[in-house]
Amino acid sequence: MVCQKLAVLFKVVPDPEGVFKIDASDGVPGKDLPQIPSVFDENAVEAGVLIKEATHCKVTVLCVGQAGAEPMLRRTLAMGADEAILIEADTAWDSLGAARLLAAALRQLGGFDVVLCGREAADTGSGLVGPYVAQALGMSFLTLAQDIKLVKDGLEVKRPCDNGHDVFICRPPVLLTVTAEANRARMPSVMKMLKVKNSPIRRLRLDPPPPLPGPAKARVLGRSTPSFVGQCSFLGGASVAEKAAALAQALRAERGI
Amino acid sequence: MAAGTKVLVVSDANRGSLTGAGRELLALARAMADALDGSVAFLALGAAAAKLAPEAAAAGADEIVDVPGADRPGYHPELFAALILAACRELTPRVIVFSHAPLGLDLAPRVAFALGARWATNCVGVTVEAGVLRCQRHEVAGKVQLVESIDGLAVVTLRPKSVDVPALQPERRAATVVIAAPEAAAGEGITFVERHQDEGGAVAELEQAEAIVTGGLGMGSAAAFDKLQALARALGASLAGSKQAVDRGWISADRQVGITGTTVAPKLYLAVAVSGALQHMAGCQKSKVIVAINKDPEAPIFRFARYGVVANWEEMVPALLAQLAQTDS
Repeated sequence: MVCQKLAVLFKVVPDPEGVFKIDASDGVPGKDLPQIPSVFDENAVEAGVLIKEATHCKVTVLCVGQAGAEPMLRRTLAMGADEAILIEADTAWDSLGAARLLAAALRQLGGFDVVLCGREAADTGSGLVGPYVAQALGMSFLTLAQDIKLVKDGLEVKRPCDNGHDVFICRPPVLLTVTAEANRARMPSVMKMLKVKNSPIRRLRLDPPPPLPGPAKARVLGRSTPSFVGQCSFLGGASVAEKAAALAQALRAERGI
Repeated sequence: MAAGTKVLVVSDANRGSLTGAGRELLALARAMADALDGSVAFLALGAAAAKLAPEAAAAGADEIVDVPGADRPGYHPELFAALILAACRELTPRVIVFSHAPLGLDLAPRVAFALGARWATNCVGVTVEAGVLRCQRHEVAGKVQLVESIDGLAVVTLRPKSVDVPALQPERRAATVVIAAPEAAAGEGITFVERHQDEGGAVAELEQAEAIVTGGLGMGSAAAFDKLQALARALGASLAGSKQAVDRGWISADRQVGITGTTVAPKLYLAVAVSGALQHMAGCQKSKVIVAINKDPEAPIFRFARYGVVANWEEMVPALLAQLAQTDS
């Protein structure tokens, strides 16, 4: 398969393993948490770099976010991407808004054979951006790629189905959303990290993005963060046997045995 | 397209019978249709599509959609999307519901985009108030809960194990609505090649299990899962693993619980040496009681657990087996 230009859509999110609080002033969750790359987007970068190693294509990483994303974008360069572009905007919890900007950016840059992104962002968990960007650009797409291989006609993609998996051939231009099963994202070496330390992150000024055809907006009535903390009864005991006895009692009660 | 009052359920017919997820979709659709003063239409996609009709009627469908091509084996994204859109043109539904699972996750955005509908993804419940949909959705694997209202055309993907399923009503009957096949889409960019089914039935077993024992990365080896199997047997439970354990080959992929594995909701979920990363918890947090054994008192799993024991599994599992054996004798 011939692939000359490949793009990866990359999001930076508040650490999903942190404790989410909602900012009272604007209702935005997780503002105080450290920012990290959205896990599946790292799988997408890795998948892109693997395709680059086979086809020598140029890999461009595109991120909608704030200046704080720069170190994480540099890390994608150390992983093997050729160029990283930041579109400065705050669309953190607005998947449609992010899709609109990314579609406009890809259209402006033009000519991508393959576009990859994570199966969903680790914060919104919606899985909307990939399919909407593809459709806005009139590209084919397939979600949940578990394995991607280069073949003569395109990309051979393994995708889960109910009770098993399917295999597809995807002809470029195509957008794929990538799951954690697809690969293990590489850890760039210290040398590579030092090499990109001062690499510029290109800013893209977008022409006014066209509204996405179709998708109507919904109204967010409210967000909440249900607390799981403190519900756990820790079963103690001086010895393992005592703890096991307490646990066995709890399990018997739950299982009715 | 003017939105009507119908609710269209699109279900996976891969297994040849209505799955738990399919019944949940119909239960949700029935409640929505009743609140909208409308009806429930049912469209099954996959080789066994025709077989699902009687069960779908018993689970709440008023109309069964019969469209040529729906029974094509495998998954054909562009064709199946075209079939759903043809059904939508004919039936003018207000809401189209899919399971938040591989089939629905790929088709819902196609249908929502084409119709200009709002896609409420990752829903755990939908109610209708004064004709307006209130969608309860999960973000950050349930750490943030969101309620949004949609007063127009909506596409909903419902997380499995979110809705209580009422008993089937075998006497219910549904009418068949025959819809003409849409014109073939010109040159599909995505071509289906083949389907591989897991033969062991582990997915269905986990979906229906009342008790599950799951091992995580901390188990350390495949041999450790043999010991966990003994515990599962003593509790009358099914055995499962986290993605980390599956990746290392300690347990088969069809027994993976989590965002890419099976979503389960047993009465008892015993997590052994599972850290409780969000991608795992997304697949089990609807369990009635989660019990965790982990040597790290700070492990996130304890945030979700009802009972927790801070201990090495190597010591705790044999001690627990001994305790359970005592009670049995």
